[in-house]
Amino acid sequence: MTLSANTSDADPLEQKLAAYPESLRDLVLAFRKNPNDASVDAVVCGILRYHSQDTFDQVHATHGDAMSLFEHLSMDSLTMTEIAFEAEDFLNIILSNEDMISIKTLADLKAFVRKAASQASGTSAS
Amino acid sequence: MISDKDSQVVVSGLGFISSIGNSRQEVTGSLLDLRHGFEKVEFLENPDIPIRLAGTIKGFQVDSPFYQQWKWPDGYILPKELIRSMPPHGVYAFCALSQALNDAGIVSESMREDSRTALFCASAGSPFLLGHHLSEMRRNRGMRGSPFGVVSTISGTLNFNLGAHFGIRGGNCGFVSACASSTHAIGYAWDQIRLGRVDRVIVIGAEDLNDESVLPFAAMRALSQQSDSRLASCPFDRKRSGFVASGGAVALVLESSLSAASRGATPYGVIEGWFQTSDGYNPAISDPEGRGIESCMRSLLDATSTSLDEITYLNAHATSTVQGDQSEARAITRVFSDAKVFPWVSSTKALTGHPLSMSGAMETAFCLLAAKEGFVPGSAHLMNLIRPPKACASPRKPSGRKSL
Repeated sequence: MTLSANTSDADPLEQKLAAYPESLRDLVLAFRKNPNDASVDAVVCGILRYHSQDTFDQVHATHGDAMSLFEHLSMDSLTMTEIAFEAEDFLNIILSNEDMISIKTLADLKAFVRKAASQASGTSAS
Repeated sequence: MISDKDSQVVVSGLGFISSIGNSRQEVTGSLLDLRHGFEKVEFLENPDIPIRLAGTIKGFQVDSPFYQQWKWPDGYILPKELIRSMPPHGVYAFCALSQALNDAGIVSESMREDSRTALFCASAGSPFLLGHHLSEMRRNRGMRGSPFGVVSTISGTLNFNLGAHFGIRGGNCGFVSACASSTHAIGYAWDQIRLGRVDRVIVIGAEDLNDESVLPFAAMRALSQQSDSRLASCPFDRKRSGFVASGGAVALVLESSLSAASRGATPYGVIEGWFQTSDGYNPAISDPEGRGIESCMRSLLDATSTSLDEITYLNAHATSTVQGDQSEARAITRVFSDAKVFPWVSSTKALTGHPLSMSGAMETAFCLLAAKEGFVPGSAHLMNLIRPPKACASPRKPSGRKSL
């Protein structure tokens, strides 16, 4: 037997993605095939669904994109940072610290991630 | 020294995630049957590395740097909010702590309501996970990293995570003194309770078991290269050649006898005192004559007003290294040279391997189990005894002497 996973040769992002649920991996793969606002939004929602223990859909049905990530999904600042880094890794974008601090709602998060995705690709993601 | 005599600091709960068992019952069975916990391992997928064995932890899968892929035995509920900021050995520690609280009859939620419970932990942190996070940071040229990169890897990780999760408010302290770390945790816990500063201290010793936690000791030439379990870990044997590495977690609940009595808990035993000295000799090797060890044992006997003939059993640290075992053997022999009957001496590392900072907590817990069950832990793999101590070769019922 071995005592540590062999991670030296594999792509670090692929290794990280492999640790997440298949449903989220499928959304990231769909974004890579067809990067647009809809696929960006889908990945963002998939990340939130993972972190909210699947209460995301219920809250989203009630509050829509105006849902507060802190009040309605009970996210703390560390979780928000984790979410931001996951979005950066999965979508190959960079979110500024100023952006991250000002994110309060799902609409905020979607908007900042869309903007970052379009900057990363040099054109509008859509 | 552990005694059944009435005293102020008792141990009321134990929890084990170890190479020889993941419960009190499994550990007791392994100690009684002299069943070791070693498995053949290959490090870094390199068959040329000459270290062949480790005291593995069964029933867990924590070899990934991504907590989402970790698995643990049924019956333990680890929320994502906890494990996301823990190292691999944090999972072991949580499970051992859960056992110890249950064993002591303590409802974990009750600890949030008082400021009289403290948490003392011993851990070397996780070089494995730290390496992963630093690698990620370099890959991203410092632009991003895990927000849990610090709290999940450094040597205070158990304190940060378990202290917050269980709402510990009576003090939260880490001990970093290498193989003595969890022994220090027990000693200072005893002090805190005797001084009346807290009613209860939860002591945890825990370590990763992976390439990063083990191989640095191979570089020191401290590990045995034997592939035969009987020869690889044989403390006090003339053929000893180094230790077999292990990991896991052990938790103990230390509390005032009054605190235990208030719940109707039946303690395993009483801790009558502790003492510490130091060699001042070498950063990695013990004084060959064992002068520091001898001084410590004599001081402890004085401090607890204990005579040599009251000692039934001595659990040695002996890890199966050439110099360390010799130091201990010489010290033990000198201290007990005037005893009417030499105490039984054994090192349970013959079965477990050496789990580094958790050794003291683990072996204190073994002694308490043995006292409760009425046996003396034996010396496995001992064929040709080195000159000094009279080690016992197998478990046996203690004779009429009054303390263990």
